[in-house]
Amino acid sequence: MESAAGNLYNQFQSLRAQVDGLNEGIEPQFLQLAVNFEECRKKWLRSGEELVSCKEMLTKAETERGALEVKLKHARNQVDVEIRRRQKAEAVYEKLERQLELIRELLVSENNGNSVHLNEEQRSALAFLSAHSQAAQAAKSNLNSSRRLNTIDESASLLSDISYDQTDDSLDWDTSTMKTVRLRKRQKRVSHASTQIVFSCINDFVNESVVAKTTITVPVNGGAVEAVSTIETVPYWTRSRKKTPSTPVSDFPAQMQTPKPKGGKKHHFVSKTVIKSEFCVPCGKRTKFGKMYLRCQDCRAVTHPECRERCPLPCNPNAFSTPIKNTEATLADFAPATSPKIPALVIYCIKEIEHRGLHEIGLYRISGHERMVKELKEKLIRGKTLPPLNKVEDINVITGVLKDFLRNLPEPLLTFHLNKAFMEAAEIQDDDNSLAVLYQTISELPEPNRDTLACLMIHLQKVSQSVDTKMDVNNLARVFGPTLVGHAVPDPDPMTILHDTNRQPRVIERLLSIPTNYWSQFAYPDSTAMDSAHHSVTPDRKVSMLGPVTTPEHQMMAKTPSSTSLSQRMITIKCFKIKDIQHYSGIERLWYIVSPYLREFKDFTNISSSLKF
Amino acid sequence: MPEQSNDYRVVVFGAGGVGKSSLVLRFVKGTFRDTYIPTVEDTYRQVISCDKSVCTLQITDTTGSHQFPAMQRLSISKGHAFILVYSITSRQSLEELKPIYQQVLAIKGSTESIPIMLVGNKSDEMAQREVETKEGEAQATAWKCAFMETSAKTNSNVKELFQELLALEKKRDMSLSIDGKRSGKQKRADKLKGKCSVM
Repeated sequence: MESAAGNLYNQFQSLRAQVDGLNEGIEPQFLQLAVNFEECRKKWLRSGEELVSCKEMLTKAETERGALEVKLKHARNQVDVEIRRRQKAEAVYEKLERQLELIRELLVSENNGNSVHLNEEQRSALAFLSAHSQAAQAAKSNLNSSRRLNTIDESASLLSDISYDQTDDSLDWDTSTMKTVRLRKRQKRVSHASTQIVFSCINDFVNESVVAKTTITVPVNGGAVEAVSTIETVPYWTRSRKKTPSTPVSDFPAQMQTPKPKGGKKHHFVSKTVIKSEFCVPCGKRTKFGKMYLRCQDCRAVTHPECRERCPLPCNPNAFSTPIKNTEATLADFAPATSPKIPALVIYCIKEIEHRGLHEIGLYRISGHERMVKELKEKLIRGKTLPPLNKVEDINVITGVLKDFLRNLPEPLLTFHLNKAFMEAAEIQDDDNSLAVLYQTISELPEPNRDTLACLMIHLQKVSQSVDTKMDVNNLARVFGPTLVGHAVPDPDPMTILHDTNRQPRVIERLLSIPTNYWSQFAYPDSTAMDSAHHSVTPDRKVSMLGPVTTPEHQMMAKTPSSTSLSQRMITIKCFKIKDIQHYSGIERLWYIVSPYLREFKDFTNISSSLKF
Repeated sequence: MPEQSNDYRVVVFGAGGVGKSSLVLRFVKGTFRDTYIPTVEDTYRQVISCDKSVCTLQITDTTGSHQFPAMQRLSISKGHAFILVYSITSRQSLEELKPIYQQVLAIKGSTESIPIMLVGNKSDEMAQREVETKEGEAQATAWKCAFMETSAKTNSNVKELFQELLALEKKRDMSLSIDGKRSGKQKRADKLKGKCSVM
């Protein structure tokens, strides 16, 4: 028993000793373990935080990348536009070249034929022209020579090579080249233009002679462009002295005006004697029996001679010459064959609405008298002459005509097949992406639809900015949604109608948020490219549509009016038709040459134009 | 859209800006907003009493700014009763109702059993009045429909308008008030109360 107890006791003792041993060792170890755990925890925490911050950086980078991609897309679009513009400009350049050549030949041949000694002025003109033609020849023969457009060639080829996966660095690099190209181009232009161009014309009549001279000076340092015109006649040919100098531009007989190119915006007026009284388009008054009036041969607009400058532009040749059935005619049938392909009806209505409708409450919301709308539309589409819109008392009739015209097209303006694309583009939440897709979709529109849409959008932006109408962007979008966007099929079922009606305004809202100058390139292609002087409003508004990437052309327009006038001159020279010139002689022919310049120069205040007799 | 036979559909027509939405909102919500927002199409629902039971009055507020024949035909064929609104400040707005009335007549066959109200809205703007009350009445007589001048702004005759419209319906016995009958809402409220008392 005792031994057992002793045994047990021993066992107990040994157990205790073991426990003690264990207890002694374990505490510091345990502490160590705890410390280790604590350290481990801290490490985890730190790496966790790092992970979070890394993730944040990643998302930031992602969004940046997205934004840059959109910019890249915009830049690419812009480049495409520029390339197209360049091609156009080149075509114009070549045409001009040819025409200069023709003028030169004319001068040479005329002198030979008449066997009259070359006058001094004539000689200088000839010298200029032949020098020019030689230069042009040289430029053609040597591609690396100073032919102006080569620089643009380079830039275009560089930029059009941007591929989709290029990095930000390359984009930066591209824009920088674009800038330098722009500078170079500008320098070239100025240097090229820093010369005195003298146009002169002499004619010897039986007993009098007319000497006329126009000198255009463009200084190298970019100073004021000067134009001096002199017309000298011997005393007794009074008629020419009296008539032409006093009213150099506006009152000149219509035949003498330079016929503008086919694609142009100008009217081609011929003067006639009034037999049947008609309404003058600009002033709305009747033409009086037996007096002279002007009629545009292309669009049949009628005007008093003194109102011709105010005649609405552009001229739309086709629109009124072919009466068409409204129900079947598509937009393209109404639009002229040359850009901007905007139906005349749209332009005339918009002109009138902007003229007196911008203070009307509920413009486009309130509808006009149905019968009057129908009648006016009928007259505009089918009539031989333009009904004077300022005689229409209720502006809502005119808005009604415009809406009715657009609504009853066999296909909505945004077309059936792009309907879905537009709706989906407008519903993209991210503004930039949405706009990028919209730009893409707009570029897929047929030209007449695109140009007309552009014209309308510019107009509606004006309306929305006019507080008096109470028609902000949302309201206009609600009214025009069904009219412009329509449905994807010709005869939608009721459910589609209901569903689409709620989605349509969003598209218009998005389209209205696109800057005006984007639309202007379609609605006024001539004016944005070369003709900004005639629309003095546009340059003020020019905000680059694509933010960082600036277009060389726009910059030039805004900053250097002198080069603008130069580019304009290119256009006007282009219009010379040699055979037309041959029909007139003496002072008339001179005016043929001089009048376009005077007309464009009067837009610039820094140009002094003087006439001496 | 499932066809609910119990619904009574009223469609409001009229030119743009005559106050169709204002009338409907005044009636449904009791409010008047001075904003200027064109309607695309809105539908409001209100519980009313009909043949001694409850039914939904469905008011469709249409668009006046652009007439789309397809949509108009749809609204007319679905509608049971019509409110034709013009503004007493615009003769043109009364003129514009004529083709709409003709359309209703063409789709419904005859308008005799169909409740139609001709409404001259904006009766508060007496200074700008272009259409005399008598002219509105004459038009209503020609169309064999009821006539009323209202003002959504001053809440004049708005409730009366809808009351009279419902009174014109001879096929059903309808009224705006739902006393004696409990609406769904009230029933639900009672149920909730009952549960509370148990707890």
